[in-house]
Amino acid sequence: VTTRSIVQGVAAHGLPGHEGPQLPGRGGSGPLGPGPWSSLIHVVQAQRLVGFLHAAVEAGALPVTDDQRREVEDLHLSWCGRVLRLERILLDVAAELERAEIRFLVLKGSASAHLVHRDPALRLFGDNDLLFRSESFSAALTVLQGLGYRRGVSTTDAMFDRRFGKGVTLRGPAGDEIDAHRTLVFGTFGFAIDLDELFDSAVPLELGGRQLRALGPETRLLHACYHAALGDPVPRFSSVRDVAEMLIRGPHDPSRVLELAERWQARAVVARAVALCQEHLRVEVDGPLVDELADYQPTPRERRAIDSYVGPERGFAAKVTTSLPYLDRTTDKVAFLGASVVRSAVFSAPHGLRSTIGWFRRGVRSLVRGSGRGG
Amino acid sequence: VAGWERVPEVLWRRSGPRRVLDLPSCDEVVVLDRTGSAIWDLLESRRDDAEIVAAMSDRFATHPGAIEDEVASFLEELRATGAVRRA
Repeated sequence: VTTRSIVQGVAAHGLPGHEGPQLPGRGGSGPLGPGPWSSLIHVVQAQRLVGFLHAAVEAGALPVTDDQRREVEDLHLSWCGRVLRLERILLDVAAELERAEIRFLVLKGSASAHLVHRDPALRLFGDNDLLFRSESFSAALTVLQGLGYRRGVSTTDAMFDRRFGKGVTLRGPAGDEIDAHRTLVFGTFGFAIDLDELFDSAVPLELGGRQLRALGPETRLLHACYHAALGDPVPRFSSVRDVAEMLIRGPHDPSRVLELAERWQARAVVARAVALCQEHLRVEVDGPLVDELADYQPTPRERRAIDSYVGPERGFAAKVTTSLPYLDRTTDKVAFLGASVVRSAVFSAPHGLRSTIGWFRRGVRSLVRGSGRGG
Repeated sequence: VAGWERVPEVLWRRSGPRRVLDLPSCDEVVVLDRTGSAIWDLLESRRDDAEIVAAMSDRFATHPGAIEDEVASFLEELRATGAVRRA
């Protein structure tokens, strides 16, 4: 039994049909020794699973010493304090955005905690994520900057951010981070998302006596799938748990999810997210959505697009190249490629522009080839 | 009948037997112990003093008269932090 398998068990704790963390000598030997325990605590924090670890320990699913129990209790308390501070900041920021009449939706962290999981103390998070409409993206950044939020090294210009970017990360005066999103995923699949539908799907999110807005059940599930399937080559367990939680406990209309996934060309993404639930959490998820996508075979174009996020050749250049077929109009393709060259040049500056020019040429070839949406 | 209720602006989480509260007027979070958390949980809906004392007396198997003052003083303390209010 490895740290990973225990973490896997912690991540799946509480899901129907899951028996609990896999421990050495389950029903036999007791708590982990100091070394493996310390390693478990480290990974659990990095994977944002402290809430699930706390629940597993409370339920007696993970044998611990008294000291280990106290450590988990203190850790959970400390993380709860941290997310509450983030939610307070979110409310302050929300008030300023509302004053400026900028509409936004709360994504992931706080929205997942309150709308997805049975107890918000299970789902702990490290930043705030907000989605803005493209046309108000620059104004939203201005409001955030007025509150003291600053971008790190900027690799894009305002036009790129507003028209093609996924969003930007800003650090606040209290050391907190806000991810300001314009869409749910960069490039390829992101271009196929109907951004108006995200806002049209919004549902209330009650927080601290205020009513904010968050994605509705179907678009929230799709966002969780994008995040788990395309976010990192090895997805964070908490991201996969979000998907599993929604697939198993809902509430969503599976036919609506499938219809959106079809229109947003995201069936391969959802299929990958479902497979990740089974691989990473070792839980069987079923239902109409899973039945429909269990045997889904991605097209070569979808496979290339997914690889540009999580494959061995992943990276900005790969995403740009695979994105072109997802843009309908040639003018958009040209503008995107041009804006991307500027961005990549900034990225490549310390190493020269040779690699930038190389992928730019590949991008042009791809632009010429992939002028339609097929394939 | 006048009762006690949570201030809606308070953000909070359940952490085992404890409750962690973030108050709009305070820079630090407040952690309630097991007894304080039990009172906080009771205030999920509005309750008057007698209801709170009765419920706490049942829960901790004590005579209502023995905890009345303690409950009243805790509620006043909680009110001073801005976590609850008389409604």
